[in-house]
Amino acid sequence: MTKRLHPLAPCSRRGGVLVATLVAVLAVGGLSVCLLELDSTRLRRQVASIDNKRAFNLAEAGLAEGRFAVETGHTGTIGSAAAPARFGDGLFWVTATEIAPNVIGLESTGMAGTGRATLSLVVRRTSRDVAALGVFGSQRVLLGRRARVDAYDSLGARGAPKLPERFDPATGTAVELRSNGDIELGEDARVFGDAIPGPDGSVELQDDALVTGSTSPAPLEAELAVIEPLELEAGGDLVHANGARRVIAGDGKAYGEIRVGKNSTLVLRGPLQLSTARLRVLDKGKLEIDCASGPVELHVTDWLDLHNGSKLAFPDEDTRGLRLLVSATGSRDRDGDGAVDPPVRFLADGTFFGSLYAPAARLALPRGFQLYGAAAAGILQLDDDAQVHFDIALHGADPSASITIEPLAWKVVEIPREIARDLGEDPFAALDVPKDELKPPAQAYEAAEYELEVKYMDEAGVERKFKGRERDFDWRLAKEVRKLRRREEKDD
Amino acid sequence: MAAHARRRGGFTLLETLIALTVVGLVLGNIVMVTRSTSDAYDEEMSKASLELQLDQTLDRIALALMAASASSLQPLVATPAFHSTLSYSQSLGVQDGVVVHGAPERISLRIENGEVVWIERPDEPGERMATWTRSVRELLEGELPNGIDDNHNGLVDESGLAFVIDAGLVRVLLTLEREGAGDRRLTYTRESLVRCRNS
Repeated sequence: MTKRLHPLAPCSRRGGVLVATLVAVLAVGGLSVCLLELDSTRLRRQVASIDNKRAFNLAEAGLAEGRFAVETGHTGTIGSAAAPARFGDGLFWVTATEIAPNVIGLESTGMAGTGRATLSLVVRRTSRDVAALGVFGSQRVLLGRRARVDAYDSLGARGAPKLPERFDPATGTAVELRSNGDIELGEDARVFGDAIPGPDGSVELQDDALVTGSTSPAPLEAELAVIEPLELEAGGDLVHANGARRVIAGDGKAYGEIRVGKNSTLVLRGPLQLSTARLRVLDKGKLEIDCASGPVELHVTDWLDLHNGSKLAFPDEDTRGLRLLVSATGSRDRDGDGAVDPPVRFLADGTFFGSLYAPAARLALPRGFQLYGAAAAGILQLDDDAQVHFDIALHGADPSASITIEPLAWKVVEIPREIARDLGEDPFAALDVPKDELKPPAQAYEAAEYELEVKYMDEAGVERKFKGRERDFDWRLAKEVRKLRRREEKDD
Repeated sequence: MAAHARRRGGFTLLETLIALTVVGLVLGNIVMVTRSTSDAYDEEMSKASLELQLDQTLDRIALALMAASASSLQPLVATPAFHSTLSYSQSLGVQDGVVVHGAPERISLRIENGEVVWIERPDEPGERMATWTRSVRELLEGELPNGIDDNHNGLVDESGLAFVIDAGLVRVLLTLEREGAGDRRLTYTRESLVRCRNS
């Protein structure tokens, strides 16, 4: 039996309190929901703001990683939208595009939470390779009357060495004649390509001088590489003046002086690395470079003295056969005759094949001299009728040359359409990629199978070496790369 | 029986008074709690909104300066001087090996309106302008117009938006101030150090 508490209460008042209470509870509940909704909206905005910052930082990290990848000889591409690199709770991928020779555009997209950011950085890759400078005079370039500068490809279309006798200015490869200062062309001088002065420099043309390409100044000065000394066993002086032919091959030495006397021939047979304070070839002396079996690298630290009447011979006519690096600087009396001698005296006859680099000296090629390959000097001068034929096959021919990266332009760009549509909180789900299977950035570089030989400084400043497959080398160990040699693995 | 039923059909005056008092007390409490909660909520919302506005404005300024070319910053007076206006050009990319710059832009404080404005092509035909934020204080928080560095940040009498340039690094200081609940003034200050990514 149910007992009524208020048996006499009128029917109209039954449940009145309950209704009033329900109304009050609903009102308070509604208000609470509104307040909670407002609060969560504010929270979402704050979280979105934080996520956007995290995504921005990830995109910046991607650019830094891409830049390092380019510096270490990779393409710069890291991961992709289908397989991005995992970094903490977020991810990024970098797409590299070569937008001009040695100018690379990096586009990095970072995702964290609901945040997305895409940044772009254009970098210029400058190789320490002499050839990367083209034909170059750091302070200025002077071309005498009828001097000529052009370019060709010694490997040709089919890879066979080709001399530029058939060079056609109309269809030939354009040269880049560069300077950090002015470029002056004498009467009838010819540049088949661009003459690019420094940012504050200009190109001056005498009567009938011609530049077929651009004469616009460079936006930035080119950086000259420091010549790193070779670590070789000391060999004393090498004076060869008995009128015979002498061959130097095998392990190179560091000489105090190499002197080739009258009617004598000194052959440097590659592969060979030599260093000498002074290289002197006297009148009727002959210096021959034999690079049939390998290249010759010759460092001259104090004086390059090629006398009038001396001869240079290159039987292989291979521009990749000789790298002549001259770190000599300053004029003074070097031979004790009371006259001041410049660091480079280049009066030899014949034709030069190779790369000639004298960043702190004036290099004056004598009248009618021909140089095939690359030439870079403090002041580069071509006397009347002298010619420089730049060989574009030299680009990248020196794998040991280190690379510097110069940032040109950074900007924020629109995020890719495919990720702009899905702003979910899980970037891995948005891209439909398994988080645990993604690689960290250092392992997500665009696949490259190289045999690597690298000399580097580690975090503690200790010089270390590594030789082996590149995939086995952890690039994070290298704080500074001193020397890099990389060649593609061959399937045996 | 009828008299008894009539006597039990209503409330005595005392019952009514007690009931009214209790109901009044309950309602009063509810109103007080609701009002104080609402005030606190309003104040928190105002604070949060002002902080968000401050962060967003500073992020916007930072992003603009990051993409700016360091050599284009004007006026280029080194620290410890500050500026309430900064002109710059952003880098658009590289064309034919040459870096291309965008139109000149300016971020400026309009003290009379307490606004931070962004102007594209200032003082040129085709000038465009947008207000990035309002409620900017005339002087930075803690600073008084007395020729002394009151807030010990190395700057004297700096404005509510101050730029300090130091070799490609731009220090940005911003103070926003707004009326809060109960005539209280809400003041927030943020500082950001931005490196121009373009030389």
